[in-house]
Amino acid sequence: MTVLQPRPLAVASAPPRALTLPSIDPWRLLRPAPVVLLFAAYLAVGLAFSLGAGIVTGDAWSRVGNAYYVLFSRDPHLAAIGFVWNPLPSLLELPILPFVGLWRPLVDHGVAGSLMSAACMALAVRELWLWLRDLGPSRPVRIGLTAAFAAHPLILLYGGNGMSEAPFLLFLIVAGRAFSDWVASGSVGRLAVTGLALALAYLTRYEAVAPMIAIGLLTLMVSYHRARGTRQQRVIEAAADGLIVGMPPIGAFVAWALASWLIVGSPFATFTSIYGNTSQVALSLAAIRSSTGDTPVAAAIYVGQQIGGLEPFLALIGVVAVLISLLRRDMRVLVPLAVFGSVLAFSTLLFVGGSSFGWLRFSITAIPLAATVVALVLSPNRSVARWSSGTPRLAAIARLVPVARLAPVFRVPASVARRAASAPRILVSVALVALVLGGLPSAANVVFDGRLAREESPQLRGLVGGDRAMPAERNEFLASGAVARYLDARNLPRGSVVVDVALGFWVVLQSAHPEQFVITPDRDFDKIVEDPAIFNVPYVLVSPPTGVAALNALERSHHGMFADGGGIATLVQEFDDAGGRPAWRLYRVDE
Amino acid sequence: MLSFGVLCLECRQRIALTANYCRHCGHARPGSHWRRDVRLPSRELSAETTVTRGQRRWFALAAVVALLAVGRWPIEAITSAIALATALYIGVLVYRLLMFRDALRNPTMMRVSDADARALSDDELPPYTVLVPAYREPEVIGQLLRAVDAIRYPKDRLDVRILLEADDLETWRAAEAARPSSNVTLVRVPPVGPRTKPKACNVGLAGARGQFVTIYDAEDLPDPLQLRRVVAAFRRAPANVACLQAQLSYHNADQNLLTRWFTAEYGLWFGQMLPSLVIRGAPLPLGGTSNHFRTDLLVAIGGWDPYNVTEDADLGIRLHRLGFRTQVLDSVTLEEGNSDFVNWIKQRSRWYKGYLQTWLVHMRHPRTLWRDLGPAGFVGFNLFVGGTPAVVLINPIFWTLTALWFIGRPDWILALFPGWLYYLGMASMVIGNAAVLYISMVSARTSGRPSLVLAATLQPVYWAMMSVAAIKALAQLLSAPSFWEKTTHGLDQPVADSDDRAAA
Repeated sequence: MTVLQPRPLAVASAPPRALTLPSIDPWRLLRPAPVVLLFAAYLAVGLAFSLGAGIVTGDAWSRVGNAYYVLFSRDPHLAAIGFVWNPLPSLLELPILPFVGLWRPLVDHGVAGSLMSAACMALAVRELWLWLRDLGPSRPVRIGLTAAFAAHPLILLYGGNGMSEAPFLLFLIVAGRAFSDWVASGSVGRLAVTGLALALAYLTRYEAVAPMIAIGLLTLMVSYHRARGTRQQRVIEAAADGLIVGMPPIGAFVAWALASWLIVGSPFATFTSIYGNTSQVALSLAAIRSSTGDTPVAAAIYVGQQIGGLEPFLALIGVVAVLISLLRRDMRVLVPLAVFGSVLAFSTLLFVGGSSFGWLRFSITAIPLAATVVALVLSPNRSVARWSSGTPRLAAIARLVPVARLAPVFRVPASVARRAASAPRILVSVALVALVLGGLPSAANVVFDGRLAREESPQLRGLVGGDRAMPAERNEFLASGAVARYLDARNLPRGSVVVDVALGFWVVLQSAHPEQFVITPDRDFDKIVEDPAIFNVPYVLVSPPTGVAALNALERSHHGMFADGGGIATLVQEFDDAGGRPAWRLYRVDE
Repeated sequence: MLSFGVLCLECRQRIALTANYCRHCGHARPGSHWRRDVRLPSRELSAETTVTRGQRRWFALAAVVALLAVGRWPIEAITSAIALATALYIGVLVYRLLMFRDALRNPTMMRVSDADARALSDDELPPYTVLVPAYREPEVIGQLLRAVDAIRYPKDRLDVRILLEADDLETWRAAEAARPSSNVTLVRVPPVGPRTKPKACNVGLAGARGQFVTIYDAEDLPDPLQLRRVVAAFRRAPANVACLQAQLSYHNADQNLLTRWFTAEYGLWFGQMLPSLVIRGAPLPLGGTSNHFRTDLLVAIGGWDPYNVTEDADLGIRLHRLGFRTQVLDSVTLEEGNSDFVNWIKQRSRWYKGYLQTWLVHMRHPRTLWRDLGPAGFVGFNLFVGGTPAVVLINPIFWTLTALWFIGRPDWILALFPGWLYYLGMASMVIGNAAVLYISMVSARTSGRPSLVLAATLQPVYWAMMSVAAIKALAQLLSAPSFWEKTTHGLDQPVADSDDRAAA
């Protein structure tokens, strides 16, 4: 049935085209190649440690575990992702885990974590490259700076080992690039991307609150400065921009706190949980202080040495950048300072205040900071505006450096721009890039330093030195592997061994039958720990309660659990580590 | 093809609306002297019947199946229903996000600069008909005539037709008293058939002399250069562009929180959503006014459906089906935003009712619709025209379930939501609502009115109001589908003696 009228107009239609093959541009196919190569490189580094030397970074493996428990534990549920540490790294690993049946090392050597961090770090390098391209320095400079980031020893390590630094850097660089684009162009979409990237960064690590605050304040300042109209209108415009950049991260913060409060009863479990950061640092304070010094001044010097090891010329570059920016009246240098410098400042403050472990990786943002600051100093002039004041000497200095790109706050002398000679410019570019690249050997040195790199140097020595220099991670790995194999061989029924995975993940993740364990995320864990006998859980697995391991739920519930069974169990089997010391004890619960 | 008809008052036989006398009994229709035979949409494409027999059978079948399923396997049936609703929700949401991202990256609108618009000489400006349907609005007639005077178009080519219902004596007298200029005609709309704006517009179209025709509401303040921009734009546009939709906005944006929300919503709609539909090749539901048509094409398409209370949306779909296209024009008409809660609910419920009518009408033959619109257009139609009222109706159900869950944790909710559905639903609700809120904020910022951004953060209350309106719409769809709930205007004036003007 004809429902509609026939089309009344002869609409001009294109003549039939001859059949042609689509043209394939060979260069387009190669475009993803650098990211793929970087991914492969970082993954290779990670696999060299985990598969090659049996060294798996504990924190990273624990994140893989969090995702693993969601799917494969005795009580699979999404809240098993855990609320002590922010969830995004584990969530990113979640899609990889269903493939563990095909390749067990994904879990029992923590390879899922390496995949995640390698992918994130490769994308972070790409994003940094794009940011440098936006800023505009010449191609050789961009290549040099990106290489200084991608090949940096700490970046290589953290690209491969599955820790959350890789996604954190990725989201920070995305936020920084989008924010710097907004400062230059005023496009609201870019400000929205900044907000979203900051939200993701917060869900990765809580240190993101520092750049959240710094970028928020900077947004208000720039927006107010740029706005036109009465004071009230300018305030409203600044507030609107502040809301745009602030809503997603604040939303993420509130949503995570709310979820945490609803499910585990505490909104900031990272700090209040018994397994959280505050608690762990408090236990380890003596150990930390012995390496790093007792007084706040000593602590500050310690952090300075760490940063100086990673980027030895950062201070010099920083001073030069600030001076040049003042000369040019260019406030763009505040963007990398807000994004990366704020994280450095935050972690330094926490450490000096005594609530942080002071690991070397907390200063990882110094690396992209150096690269982006140098790029800003070296970005060429695209347009010229009048300078309202300036001495000839300052103008001469400014002439040495290619002048900056357009933003409303720029004022640059036209004469300087015209007469910017190329020879001094190239010299300065080479010098600055050399400063950044020259940091690489120093960084390679500092990651082996036992005092400054307390996490990385044992692992590196273990990789290089073999079993003679066995790091704690390898020791744990081997000892708990033996426990896992022993338990698997016993073919125990579901829910037979209660273990606190905050410390016992070493065992559970190497076991082929994870459902035989009763673990911390299980919803009935607390009840079972109180009295395993009533719930017919025959076995208890504990490790020595030294240092952080004293947080073991079983140890807290039944004092002396490791020493003699806490009065409720008898020893069945003891497992020693490579040094002959007892690493695990399996107790059978008395009836 | 059947042309739409009305009943002869004498013999109750069907005659064409455009006929001057009844061919059955010879009874002459008073006051009828149409100059053009406007063939209106056939019954198949008209909302005269809300649901066809075929559709009624489908709905009955679906109802029977649903009842059986709920009776036999209650938990599984309701869970499936919830899963379907969640899937629809996610579909609408993802579509909107994609559209918004497209619009931000690629803001395409037809732009005619002021200089180009003014550069058109009088010879190049063809006759233009402006239709202004008015009903019981004597207080705005004066403002209307002033706004019409402000339009920069040669008076001898501007054919303004104010369409007044035959029984609306007060507006008629006010119009005559305002001494309209010579190019303004007062048209009497006969009191037959449905008493709706589209019927009045069809009557106006029948007598339109212009090469282009447009509609303005009585209280509109169009951009004075708008008609010139339309002429210039139509020259540039491809031959199959039948309509240019201008942007609508509100001059009383800062009056209260409701107008701020409304203005932000319109900014999103006309600034991002409609241009994005153009990019995607989906049909555009047109706005209520400032749609500029080529008269010949509009007549060929069949004019407006007198039974549809959002005749603009229906026309937009119909013209797309017939192979014509709409473009968005960068020119603003200022309207009066509804500042009163009850009035707003009435207006919004009419819109949702109309969207539901439009969806039902065009989905009578889904396969034909698919052929006409193409896959992109079909999906866009369903997610946009059908999805908009659907999502707003679903929202309160899920918000209530969520509230019940957090308050009491009843077991039956636990049974209804297996693990995967729970997480999917929770994620889509939280992320979905947050995303839509954020989109409104970003859109408000791009609109150049930063004060709207703060209001946009409180949008969830606005959404609750939308849900109330949607429930009213659904009820009215079943009881009185073609009833036109008249929006009271003039509420932005400080002395609101129009408050006692009850809706028709």
